[in-house]
This record gives sequence, C-alpha cells and structure tokens, in this order.
Amino acid sequence: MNAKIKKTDLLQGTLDMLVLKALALGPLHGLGVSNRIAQITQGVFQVKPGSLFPALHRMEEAGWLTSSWGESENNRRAKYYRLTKAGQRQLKTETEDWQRISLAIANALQAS
Amino acid sequence: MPLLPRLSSLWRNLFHKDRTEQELTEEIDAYLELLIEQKLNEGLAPEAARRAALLELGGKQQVKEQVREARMGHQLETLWQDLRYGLRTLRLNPAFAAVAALSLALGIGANTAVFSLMDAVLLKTLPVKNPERLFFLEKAGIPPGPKRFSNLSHAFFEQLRAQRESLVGVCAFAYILRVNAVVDGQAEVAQAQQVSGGFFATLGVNSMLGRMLTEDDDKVPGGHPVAVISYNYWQRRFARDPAIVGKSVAVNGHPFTIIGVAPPDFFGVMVGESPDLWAPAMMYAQLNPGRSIEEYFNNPLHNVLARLKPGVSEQQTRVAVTSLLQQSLMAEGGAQLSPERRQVLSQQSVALKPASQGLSRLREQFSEPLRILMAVVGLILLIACANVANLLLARATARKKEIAVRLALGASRFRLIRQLLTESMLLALIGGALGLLFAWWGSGFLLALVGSGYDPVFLDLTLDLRVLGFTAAASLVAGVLFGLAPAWRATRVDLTPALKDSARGSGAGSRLGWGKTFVVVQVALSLLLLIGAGLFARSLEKLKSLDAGLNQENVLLVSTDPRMIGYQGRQIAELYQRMLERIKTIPGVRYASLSRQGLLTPYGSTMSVVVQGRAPRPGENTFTRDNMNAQSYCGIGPEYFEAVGMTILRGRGFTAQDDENAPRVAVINETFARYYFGDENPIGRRFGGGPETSGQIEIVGVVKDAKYKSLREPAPRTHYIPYRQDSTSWRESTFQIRTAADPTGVIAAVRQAAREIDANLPLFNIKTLTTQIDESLAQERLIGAVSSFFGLLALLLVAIGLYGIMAYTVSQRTREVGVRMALGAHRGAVLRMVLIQGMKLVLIGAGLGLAASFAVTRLIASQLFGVTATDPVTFIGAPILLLTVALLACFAPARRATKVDPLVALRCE
Repeated sequence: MNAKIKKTDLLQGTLDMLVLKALALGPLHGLGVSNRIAQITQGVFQVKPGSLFPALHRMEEAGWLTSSWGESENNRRAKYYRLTKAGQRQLKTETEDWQRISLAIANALQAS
Repeated sequence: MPLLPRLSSLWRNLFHKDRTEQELTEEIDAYLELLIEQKLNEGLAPEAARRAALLELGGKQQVKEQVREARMGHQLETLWQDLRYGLRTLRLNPAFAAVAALSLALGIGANTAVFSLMDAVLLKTLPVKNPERLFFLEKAGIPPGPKRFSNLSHAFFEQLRAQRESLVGVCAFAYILRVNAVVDGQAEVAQAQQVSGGFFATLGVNSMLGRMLTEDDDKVPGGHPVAVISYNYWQRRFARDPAIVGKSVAVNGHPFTIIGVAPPDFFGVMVGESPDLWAPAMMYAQLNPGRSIEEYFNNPLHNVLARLKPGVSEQQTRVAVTSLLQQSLMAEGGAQLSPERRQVLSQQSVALKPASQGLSRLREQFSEPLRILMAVVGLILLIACANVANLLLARATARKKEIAVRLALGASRFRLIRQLLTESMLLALIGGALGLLFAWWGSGFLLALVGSGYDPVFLDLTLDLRVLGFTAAASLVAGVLFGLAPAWRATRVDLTPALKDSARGSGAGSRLGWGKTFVVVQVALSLLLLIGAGLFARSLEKLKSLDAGLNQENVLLVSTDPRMIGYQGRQIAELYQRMLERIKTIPGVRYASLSRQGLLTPYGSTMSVVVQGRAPRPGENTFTRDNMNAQSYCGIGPEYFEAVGMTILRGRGFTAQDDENAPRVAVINETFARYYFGDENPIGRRFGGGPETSGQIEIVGVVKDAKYKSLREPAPRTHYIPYRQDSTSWRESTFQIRTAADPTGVIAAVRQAAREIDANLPLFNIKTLTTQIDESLAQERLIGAVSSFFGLLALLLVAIGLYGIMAYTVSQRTREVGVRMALGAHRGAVLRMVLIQGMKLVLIGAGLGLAASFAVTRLIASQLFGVTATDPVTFIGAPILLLTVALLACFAPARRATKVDPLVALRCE
C-alpha cells in the first residue's frame, strides 16, 4: 500500500468518509482538510482541489457540514468547515459500513 | 437524508447565484494563497511557489465548474440555459419559428378539438360518485341499442327496491320527454325526465339548492307534484333565482313545486341530452298526457339502474338478482304453473351492463365518425411534425458550423442533442399553447356540427384536465418526433471539413436524405387524407342531390302537441282541422297539411299489413331491430302530398271528407304496390292489420316513393291513412306548410294563427324542410366538412414543406447552377432540372399514398354513400390536385434557380 493512489482511484464514498474523519477533529479550511487527509493516511491519499471542493460543497448541501469565514493561523481569510450533528452520524454509519465491508473483503481474500 | 438543507441550497443556487459564485471565487483564491504560503514555507522561491501551487490547483475555472456541477439544481440550470438559448435562436429566425409553431398549432389544435369531443361522447364517465359501481339491469338477451328497454316489470322493480343484499341503491328512469312548462304565465317547451324516487340517491348526487327527490316523493300515484330542476334550467329560465325552492311550474297543465336544483356538472345520465327537470315516476299520468298510471305499472320499465354494494362483485349481484327475478316470476304465476312454464321461467336471467358512461344515442351515431376523425387529425399531426422536422433539418445544416465549433470546444454529443431537443420541445410547447386556442374554437365548431341533428345536443366540452393532459402529451410526443431525427443528424458532423468549409455545401447530396424522406412521407399521407376527404365529400354530395321524392323548396314545418295542454280524443282532430283552415288563410300559403311523423326524423311507426285474398309470407309482419323500417305507415292530413311535393301516380290523395265517419281508405307508395301487387292495379284492393281485418281499408291511390326516415335508406313499404281515421294515440304532429316564396316569412303569421286558436298551444321544431333534410345528414356533414378542411390543410402543409426543401436545395446548388449556366445551359434546362428533382419526390410519395389509400379506404366503406371505396373520380382527382399544388410549390424555387447570375454565383465562393 505504498504506491500513490490517484484521485480517480478514490471512490466517492471513501473521499466523503475521509473528509468527515478529517473534520471530526475540529474545523478546518480547504487546504487544511487536504493536509489533514494526507497526514492521517500517511500520504497515501492526496486530495486534489478538483475533487475536494465539489465534495465539500456537496456535503454542505447535504447538511453534514457547515461553513463560515474565519482567520487562518497566519491571519489570512479562509472558509472553515465544521461537522454538524448529521455529519457526525454519517461518519459513524460510514465507519461501521466500511469496517464490515473491509472485514468481509479481507476474509474473502484470505479464504483458500 | 435531511431535506431542508437541500431545499435551501437549491433555493440559494437558483436565486442567489451571484453571491454563491462570488463566495466560491473567494474560497478558491484563499485556498491558492494558503497553498502558495505553504510552498514558500517549504523553502521554494516565490515564483516557483506560485507556479507549483497553480499546477497543483489545476485551473481555477475548472475547479469552479466541477463545484457547480456537484451543486443542487445543476440540471435545472442547464435546462434554463438551454431554454433561453432556444428562445434566442427562435427570435433570430422569426419566419421559421412562425411557420413551425403554426403548423404544430394546427396539428395539435385539431387533435385536441377532436379528442375533447371524443372524450365527451365516448370516454368520459358520468359526473357522479364512483360511476364504475353503477350498472343497468335488464332481462338477458336484449340486443344493444341506443333506445333499449330493460324489459323488467314494475312488480319486479318493487322487489328489487326492497332487497338490500347486493345493491346500495336501485332506481328506474324513463327516456326524456318533451313537456309544456308554464312559469309565471309564460309557456315553453321543456325536457323532462321521469325517475323513481331513488334516482339521485343511487347516483350519489346531492342538491345544490333545496333537496333532491327521495323514495318518499314516489309513493302515491299522482300524489307528489314535485320536481328537481337542472342547473342549466335554473340559469336559463329562472335567472339563478336563489329563492327558487317552493316556486311552482305547471307541467302539461299540472302545477309542480320545485324542491331543489341539481349541481352544475350534473347533466343527468343521458350523454348528449340534458333534462330541464326531473319528476317522480308516480306522476306518470301528469307527465304523459292521455296515459294512465296503470300503463306505467303494466309496461316494462325503460331503464333500471343499480349501484352495487362495496365488496360485492358483479357476478354475485347477477346471481342474486336473477334468483330474485325467478322467484318473482314464479310467485306471479301462482300454484297453477305448468312444469313447462316453470322450466321457461327458470331460464330467465338478469344481465348487468356497465353504466359508468350512462346512456347515449350520440355514442352509437358518432363513434365511427369520431374514430375516423381522430385518425384524420392524427395524420395531420404527423404531417405537421414531418414539416417541422424538415425545417429543423434545413436549419441544422445552416447551423453546422456552430455545432462543429461547440463539439470542437468539448461539448459532448449528448449535451448538444439535449440542447437541440430542448429547442424542439420549446417549439412544440408554443405550438401546443397556440393549439389550445385553435382547439377552443374548433371544438365549438365541431359541437355545432354534431348538434345540428334533429334532437338537441347538450355536451360539456370545457377544457378539463384530461384534455389539457392530452394536449401536453401530444405536444411532447410531437416535440420528440420531429426533434430527434434532425438533432441526431445535425450532431453527426465531421469536424475538419465542417470548420474549414464556408458552411456552404457543394451539392445537395445525401445530406438531405432525411428531408427527402419527410417530403415523400408527407406527400403520401396528405394524398391519403385528400382521397378520404374526396370520398366523404362525394358521399355527401350524392346524398344531397338524391331524389328524395319530395319537393323540399318552400316548405315550413311546425310541430305541436295539444295533449300537453289537456286536449283529448276528438278534440285534437277538431283542433287540427281548425288550425289547417286558419293557416290556409295566411297570405302566401299554398297548401297546409299535417302528419303524425315528421319527414326524415329518427322516428317512425310500424304496422303489420295483411292484404285481402293474399296469404301473408312468413316473417313479413314480424319486426325486429333490423327490419324495423320495412313496413311503415303514417297518418296524414288532406293535401299532404301537394304540401310536401310528392307525386300521385294513380288514384287520389285525401280530402277533408275522409274523416271518422267516411269509409276507411289508404294511399300506398310504389314499393308497397310492387311488393303486394306486382304489376296489378292496387286501386280498390283492400288490406288490414290482421287476417280478420284484411277487408277494412280500401286503397284509393298510389304515390311515388319518397324517403321516409333517412336519405340513406330506400323508401320502406309505406301506406298513408287520413289522420282522422288513425285511431292510435298521437303524441305530437307536424304541420307542413307550402308557401309561394321564402317559407320563413310566414312563421310569425303561423304563430299568430295558433295563438288565436289556443293561446297555450306549444309550437316547436319550427324549421324549413330543407333544414330538416340537412339535419338528417348531421353525421355525414361532420365527417364531410371536417375531413375536407383537413384534407386541404394537409395540402397546404405539404406545399409549405415542399417549397421549403426545394428553396433550400436551390440555395445549396447555386454554385452548380452557376457553373452550368456559365457552360451554356439554358434557363429552361435549369428550370426543368429543379422541377424534375422536386416532382420526383412528389411522384414517389403520391405512388405510396395511392397504394395506402387502396388499402385503407375499405375501412371507411360503411360511412360512404353512393360511391365505392375505390371511387375512380376521387382516386384520379385527388392525385391531380396534389400534383398541381406540388408543381406550383416547386415552381417558385425553380424560377429562382434560373435567376442565378453565373458571375455572382462563381465569385462568391
């Protein structure tokens, strides 16, 4: 799992889950989200703006995120996203689903 | 997923687009700045940091577009864009838009108009609650017909009314009858329907004002002088008087109290007819002058209508009701029934006929014509679609460059087809909206044609949801139909030559393959329509020019019914006598007479005939539905034959001396004479209604055959007897008044004469014999007029289509024509070349159309009269007309081709 995974390889559901996970630790702006994802996946996933922004806007419209303008660490204006209650619930169900699926697939691959 | 945030984002995206756009720009810009900063922190030089950041972003516009596509309402927005673009392109080309929208409007309008009529006559259910639970009950084995009888007795109906197992309600009602209604001293003829007390409850119709009739209003013979009036009558006769309940209306001289008004949409149970008032069946004797309530009790009921209980099936009900019928019949017969008779009775059963659509004589008369018309207007819509498809195709070729540019810039083919289809849908919707307008006056026109028959017609043709839905569906189908092929064709562009070329093709070539197909199809379809129209028009012509055996010029018809105002027995004959004498004194009147049946109305009388000294042939005196008109008779006044212009061939007509006291006499027609006497002289021979009475009536004259009930049918064996010797009861009579000049000029004088004799005498159906004959052709005129109109419309559409495609080809071939002319081609040769190109398409189409016509016209043979389905005059005339028009349509573009200046044509390339 060391090879770089291209953005086209990212399933849409996976990206959503990663974004939700990244924001679960606290509000972030766009660049922050992509940095956080790179960090928590140890650089396996590098989300390009062309996928990141559509995903953020889609999830905001779905009510999982809210956004507000704020100041960045070096006093720059940036749009911050934070998880809503619905977003937390969504992260929980997606995590559970993912664990079930990955367990099933891992078992399937190990079966002789 | 939560709905609310989605809806609010949709709202924001659609209506606060600027703000969201601006925010998006700011967000992306901020991201870029932060990214640059991050690169700087990683140790890159400012320029390099900026370049790396931009590279990683991958283009601001692209990111923004991707966000937009992910947003709510993106599809809607594209549609909106396409619509605006479509409107712009239509505005840029108003001539195209007008022709296309107009042909579609004509096609869709025609379809909507005919559909709304068909809907009202054939498809709509009664305006009552759950009409599908309503059924007519009748004795099994009755052939279907517009005027059928239930053949159920009143005694059985009483038992039915008492049982509550499978029926929620049951009622009986009679056919609508004409009555004399006096309101505030003003007499008028009104339509009344006699119904049993459960009528409104069974239908589930509640009153709008006052109350409806109930079973309690229908108990004692003659004891319930109450009536419910229709909304229409309330509006027409009482000016929507809110205090109407409790008012009195005198029906045939008997005062009735109005107890309620029916709701506006309830016209009754007879589609096409609308009674003014409903009265209880127990008032039979008051509503039917000269009849007694015993006749009501002893005759089979006209119609019995029942509403099934919820959850009880049709089958269960039939079984239950049939067993009730058998019990009732056995009980009636009593103990002394023979076993054979019991056997016969146990075979009797009750049939259930769906009543959700009510009864209608229009349905039988007009269902065939309406189906034909629906097919005709369907073809018209197809022709219109082909026309618009052709126009779009020509335009798509002109827009080839635009389309190539958009494809080259990365638009997907699907996206382009979608946009072109949106444009054609837009056209179709404009056409549909205009079409509704056409339908609005078109259906009024159709209604006038349908309602021009003998009986008044009441149909509700307001544009309801069903009709609007039909129009919308027709428009959308049309839009796809004419839009898809051109859009498909237009987006199949080979980019390189299309962009290089100056958008002017070198030859017509295969690019117009589709267009040519459309023209061929159009020509074929319109020839089919023209031939159909020709056949109908010639049938109508034949019917009109038929020798009816009458002289229809200058005859006024006036009907009356003195029983409505209390005349009985001999009083009626004496009244008629006085009327005839008085009418003859009116200046301008040459002859005046009367008859029991009007001429060429749907009504007639049948009587069996046995000639003295001749054994009746088996079956000649049994009249079934099919030979109902084989033997007719008519009571007439003196001078009748002179008044209607029939020719006396032998013997004499009647005089005033042929009255009750004189020997009984008759005049027979040629068909009667030929049937019973062959070549022998019938004068002086005798006949009667049965073997014992065969010597009763002496034949004193023979008249030439004249049409009796219908122009289509040959004259039946008919005998005429003096009205004063006609002992059967007369409902109404028609006076025939022959005048020296325009018969409508004496109407006022005739009314005055009637008033002098009895001020209350109701007069109705005042019209000329010519009008009456026209009315008997209502069905033929409907098809004739409408199919001719659409035949010509089809011709016009074809001319437009042909002109369009030829003009386009000529413009495409300008250069070629220029070269030909530069090389010495004659103008004549160029003209011929273009004409031949166009007419070749027309000839192929005409050939196909002729073949289709031969195959299809057989289907309408039953509607034709005096012409065969392959009438040579029509089959030669229609193609000639079509070819002439087509030649004219090709001629203008061809002439333009000859005007090409070779120098100009060559230089402009």
